[in-house]
Amino acid sequence: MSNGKVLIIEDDYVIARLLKVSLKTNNYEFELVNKGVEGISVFMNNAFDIVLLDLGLPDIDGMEVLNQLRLQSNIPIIIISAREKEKDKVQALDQGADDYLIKPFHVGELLARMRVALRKSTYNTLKQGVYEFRDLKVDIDKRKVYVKEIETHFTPIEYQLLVLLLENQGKVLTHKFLQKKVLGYETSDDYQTLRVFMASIRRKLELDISTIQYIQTEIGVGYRFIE
Amino acid sequence: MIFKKNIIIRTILMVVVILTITTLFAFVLQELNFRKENILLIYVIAVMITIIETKKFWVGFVTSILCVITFNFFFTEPQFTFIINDPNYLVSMVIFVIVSFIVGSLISKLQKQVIIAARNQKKVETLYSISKKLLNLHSIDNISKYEVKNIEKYLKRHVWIHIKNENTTNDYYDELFLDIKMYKQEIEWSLNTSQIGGHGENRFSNLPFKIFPLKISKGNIGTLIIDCTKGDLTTEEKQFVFLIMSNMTIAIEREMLSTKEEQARIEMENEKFKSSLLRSISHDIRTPLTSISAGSTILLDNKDQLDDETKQSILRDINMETEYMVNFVENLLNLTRIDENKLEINQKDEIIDDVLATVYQHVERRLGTHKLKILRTDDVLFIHVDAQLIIQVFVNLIDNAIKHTTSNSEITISYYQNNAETIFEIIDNGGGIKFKNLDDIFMDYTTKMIYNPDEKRGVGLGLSICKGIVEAHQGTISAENNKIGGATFKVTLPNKRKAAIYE
Repeated sequence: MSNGKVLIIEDDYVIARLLKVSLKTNNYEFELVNKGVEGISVFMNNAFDIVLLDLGLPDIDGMEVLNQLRLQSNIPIIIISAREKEKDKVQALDQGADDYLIKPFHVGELLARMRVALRKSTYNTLKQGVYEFRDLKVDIDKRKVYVKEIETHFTPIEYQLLVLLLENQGKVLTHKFLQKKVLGYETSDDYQTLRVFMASIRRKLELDISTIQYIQTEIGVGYRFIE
Repeated sequence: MIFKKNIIIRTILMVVVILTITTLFAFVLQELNFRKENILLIYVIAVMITIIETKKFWVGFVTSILCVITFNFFFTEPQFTFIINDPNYLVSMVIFVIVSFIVGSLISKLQKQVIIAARNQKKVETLYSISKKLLNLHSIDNISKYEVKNIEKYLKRHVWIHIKNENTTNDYYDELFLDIKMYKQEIEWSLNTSQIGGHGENRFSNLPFKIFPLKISKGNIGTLIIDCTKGDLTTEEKQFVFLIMSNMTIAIEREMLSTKEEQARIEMENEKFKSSLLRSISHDIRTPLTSISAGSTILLDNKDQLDDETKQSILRDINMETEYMVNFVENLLNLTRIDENKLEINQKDEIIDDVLATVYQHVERRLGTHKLKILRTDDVLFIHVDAQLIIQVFVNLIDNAIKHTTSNSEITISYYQNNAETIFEIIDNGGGIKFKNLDDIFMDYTTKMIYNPDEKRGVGLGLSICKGIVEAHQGTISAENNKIGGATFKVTLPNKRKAAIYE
């Protein structure tokens, strides 16, 4: 039984081969193309579960491929790119990419991100019950948060942010997305308010940042709740 | 108008008073039997006093006529008539008028010159004080603002300075007296032709203002626009404007020259840094590449002869060297970022916790048995930095600590903030720094190689980059040995980058 079918759009053959080997050993089916246009047409004619997309392609820009695919479907798309600038990341994520990996990357990391992205398409919201993760416990029904079994006060906005991060566990959420979803208004202050909220959540969850981190910061991009 | 009327009344009053006093005095002289000619001379004095007091030549002339009439009336035979018996007096009176005329014109000329000299002196003083202060001003911005103020002050007219420098335009004014967008064409014309246009000039004469081009040696840097709704500029005002403009363009030119020199200096330093770096990099890259290449060759060629354990250890080495190379490349990339932007780094307000948490994520894999402790403050604090670069500083410092301490050592990062700066301390409990001069560890890699050619690889580059990055943030980095063992690295960063000092 396969873990899913992957479309790899990547022109560097060494990386492509590495991806092939890793995916095969981890029980994924895959199709490999090395051009953007070809990738789009292969995507149209086959059913895939996830796409791995390189941004630097020989024919068209990967961002264009991302836009084209997004017009067609909600399929999880993970960007693999050597572009390490914050603005490239933010742009890709805001245009619908599910995740963004910078070359060089660890294969283990890629597989973990793929699992997250694939799971995302199956479940999504925390509606009721109690959610537990390591030392953290969130009682959705009572709107209560416990850290190491101690009830910890979260303001309504902090609580909403936390739940949103949990619902998207493992996935990076951009500042823009969180701002819009929780604070509900646009801002031009570099998301300072949002970041202060996140810092205070972090102080409540992580008693010592050098032993446990629940929330990973992607500076200039957003936050990811660890898996 | 009221003002003018007052002057006329005062002048008339003065003439009457002087004339009366003189006549009274003349009567006294007559009673004392002085000759009539002396009496006439008294009147010459009266005319001169009038001219000096009123500063008007024509008043003097009128007074001299009045004097002659008065003299004729009171003192010539027959007295109290305008009839003259002795024709001698007629000649005397004509001579009197001529003498008064000549003396009067000389006095008034002299007076005019005194006024002009005083005015010129004031102008020179004004210009001197303007240009003296101009010497202390830096940036075209400040120079333009200053000149706007001067023209406002001395001409009492609105002024607008429009500077166009390397595709950026800047406007300086105290009051929005015109909508500059409406007059783009006229301003461009003046910029391109170097000619004065606007009110009273050949071109655009119906505009309510005058446009002067600001000429520097390279061409025109902008225009100076003066409001003429209250009337055209007088010759003197125009002269003043020209003097101000030449002062201003000299200052701007001086400024541009010094900026260029500064840029050239920075570029040269960058160039020096880069070239010495390039020379040293090869050493840092070759070592890990050698072991990767050798290791993989062994694996490829002898894969059947090698036992699993050996293969495993070779693979682990390759993996480790690759990790090292990844971080090394990261360092290099950051360096090029500093270089490309000519030390103009991308500073933003970042939360210190976020920065340190990211640092932790970066080094976690390499920590091994070393322990890293990050001590937070109670408040959420911001710092104005280029996050990517500052993260690299901490990663390098921690890497450095890992490399130079034995396993199980403890590395602690703490920070505190005062009004002006944020201070980070990275403390380890290893063996301390062996260098005699502690500042040497931040030294250029190549220089260090000369002193210590067997230096373990990867030492110098990391710390030199730390220094480069911290200094690009206008901060400082230093190292010292702790009394109880181990070393402390201290990074001090200003809270907001101060603007260059313009006072």
